[in-house]
Amino acid sequence: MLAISEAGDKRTVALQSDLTIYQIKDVSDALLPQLSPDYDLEINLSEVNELDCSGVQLLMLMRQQSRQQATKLTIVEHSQAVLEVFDQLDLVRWFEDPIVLTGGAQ
Amino acid sequence: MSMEAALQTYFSEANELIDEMENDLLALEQDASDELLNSIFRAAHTIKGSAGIFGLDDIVEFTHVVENVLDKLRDHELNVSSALVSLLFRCRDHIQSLLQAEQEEAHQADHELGKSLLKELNAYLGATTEAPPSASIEEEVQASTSLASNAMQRYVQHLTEEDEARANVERMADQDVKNDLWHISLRFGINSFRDGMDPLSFISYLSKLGKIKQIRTLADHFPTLDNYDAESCYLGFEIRLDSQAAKQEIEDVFEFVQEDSDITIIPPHSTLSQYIELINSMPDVDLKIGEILLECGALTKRELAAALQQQAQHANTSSDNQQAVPIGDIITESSTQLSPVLEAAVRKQSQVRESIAREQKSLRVDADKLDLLINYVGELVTAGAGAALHAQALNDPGMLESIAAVNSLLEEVRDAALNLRMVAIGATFTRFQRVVRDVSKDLGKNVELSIMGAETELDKSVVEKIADPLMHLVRNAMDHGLETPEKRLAAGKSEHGELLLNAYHDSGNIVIEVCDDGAGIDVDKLRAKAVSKGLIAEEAVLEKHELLQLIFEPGLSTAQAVSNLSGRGVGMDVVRRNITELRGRIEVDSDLGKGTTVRIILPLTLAIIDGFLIGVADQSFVIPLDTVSECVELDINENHPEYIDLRGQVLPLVDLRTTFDLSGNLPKRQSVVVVQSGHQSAGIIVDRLMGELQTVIKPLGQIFGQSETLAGSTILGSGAVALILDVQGLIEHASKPVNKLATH
Repeated sequence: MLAISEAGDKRTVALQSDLTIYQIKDVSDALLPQLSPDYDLEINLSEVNELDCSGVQLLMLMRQQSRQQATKLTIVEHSQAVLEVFDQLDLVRWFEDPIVLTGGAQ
Repeated sequence: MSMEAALQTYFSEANELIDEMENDLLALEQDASDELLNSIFRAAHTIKGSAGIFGLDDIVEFTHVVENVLDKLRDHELNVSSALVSLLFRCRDHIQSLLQAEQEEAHQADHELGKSLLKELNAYLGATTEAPPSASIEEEVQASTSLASNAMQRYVQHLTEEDEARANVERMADQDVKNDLWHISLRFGINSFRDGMDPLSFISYLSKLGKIKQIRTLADHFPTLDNYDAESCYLGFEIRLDSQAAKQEIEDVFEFVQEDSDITIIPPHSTLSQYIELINSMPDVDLKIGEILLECGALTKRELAAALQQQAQHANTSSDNQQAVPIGDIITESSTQLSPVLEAAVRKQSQVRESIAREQKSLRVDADKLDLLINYVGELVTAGAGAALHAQALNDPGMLESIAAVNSLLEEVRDAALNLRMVAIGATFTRFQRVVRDVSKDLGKNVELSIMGAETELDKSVVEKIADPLMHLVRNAMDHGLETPEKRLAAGKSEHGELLLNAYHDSGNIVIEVCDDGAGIDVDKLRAKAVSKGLIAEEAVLEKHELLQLIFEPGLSTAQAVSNLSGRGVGMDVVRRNITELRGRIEVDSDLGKGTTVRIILPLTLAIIDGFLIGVADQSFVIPLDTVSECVELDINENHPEYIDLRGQVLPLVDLRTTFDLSGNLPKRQSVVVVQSGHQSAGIIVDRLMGELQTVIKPLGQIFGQSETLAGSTILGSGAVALILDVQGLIEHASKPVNKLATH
């Protein structure tokens, strides 16, 4: 479900499943504890092919928590599906993550 | 506008839309363009949307599914196929029938048919539900909205009661907020995700109703990590939508989640109070909502300040009571009531009306009012003629001049008034596209319908009455005139049978032709049949056109032996009767193997004509001026001639003295009025020529109704009654042998 790799102070968590109501319970149970003041967390969304509002909500909650706890969280490699939803809900600005359009996303 | 009046407007507009839909569907068969699909979708959508406002549940329920299918066509998830188009045709007919059922108590819609149509439609919807998940959002919305339609129906029924209880949409005087966008405030229920509702799909659906100008996704209600349940929904949205949709339509989007969620919809140009209400209705976020509104531009800073100040003021003034009155209550007290549903209905109607006005630049007028106007104009014409008569008697030049001016204006007013009733026959013709399409499919024939003279105008009442006879003729031509493709090819004709509907003006008449290039009528067989039925004598000598007229005789309707006539007689006598009732006549031309033309000749209008006044003995008669071609002097040397030589042509004569058995002295000189009807001419012998006049046609009573030589009566300016001659009837008389004429 999660592919976790570490490099120095940075922990990268690549989601290996979609973010919809069907997976959200398991994903959130696995993902939320990753948020920690001990390292910078990077969430990679390149494998997320489908995302509904429960997924959006989880990501928003993590962003909110990271702000409150002053931990560092970066969301990277948004998949096309994620970008579309973020765009639709006008959340790109809210998340404040730099969006890099990869060649594959075009 | 009362609800009842709005409903009537809805019906007439829905009927227009349903007609449009038919035309579009016909065009769709030829060319499946996006534009057509959109147009059909819009028609269905508007019919459904407005039906919802009026609580016409049957229509909403059925049309909704049709709309879903159309939507898929529009999105190219389904392809236009002839089977689907034919299904849509049947659905259109069913919607029409449902509409009719709501309008007329006597009409019952066939609900079994509706159910089977729904089943077919759902098969199309079902076929695409297995699409990849990325397409499933729309599917979900559609599924949920169709589920929601039940809830909606209940809702619609109670709208009126709810209306009164709905203080929160009431208007605070004078304080419109400056914006033209909808504001939609959504707080989804905690169980939305678990119930299978994804807010995203609602927002997607919303964006179909208009353009989402701004959206803010709110994380304000997020719980702490400990209390967070991933499957609960804590999301909220503030949306600004640019849409022409009615409030009902927007509310409908959220119908299914309405119970558990907080949804506030503020229409464009709403009053400040509605925003205050929204601010107040969210106690847990305090003024946060105000800031959100400010931020997303729904309110300006000044407006927000004014709202908060007002709130504070009311709190102060009521501090005597030791209790701040909730703002909602204050607004209720100070506001004028507004029924949002009615407003939405009226807005919707006016939208539809605007678009119609743009397309046709026309005005809807009650037919009764028009009839009243025509009646008055008729009276005015008669009174004008009376005034002219008196002026002549006075012989005052000034008076005569004035009267002449008044009368010429009167003529123009008459023409203009009559013109109001004139409509192009095109709409009636176009309706036959569908008939031709359906019948040709049923019969397995290839028929192409072409239309000429669609812009030809005739009286509205005539148009209405001509539709049925025309239908008969068209069906007959296709059923019995046009051959199957095989036979046509064998006869050396093109595979496509051609059917032409043609209309044109001809000397004060309108001529409507139904032409086919089919097998034609076998005159010999027809004759044999008529003889065996005893309609004509064995040895009777009949011209071809006289023989052809026999197809209108009732006895020939059941003819089986005459192959290309079998059934052609069914109702042909009824057709003729209908046409005769309109003071018209019907002719047939047919060439065996080449085709048949049925020609209906009708007077342009049923009310007022230009007449030519003549006198015989002490009686006055009016001849419709359009039929008069010239007047010549009758050679005094011939006594009671039956014909004269008019520039080398034989012109049969009608002596009105004989025809109407009038006595009285013969004047020194008699005149012949040459009249023409169609291809035939005749001369009418008269004593006096009294000039032109405008004639208001009054029907003859029952007793004279059957008279073939009289078309009606009119009242002259002097108050005397003049009979209006039926020129066609007279010509037929003149053409018949003398002994026959004498018996009349």
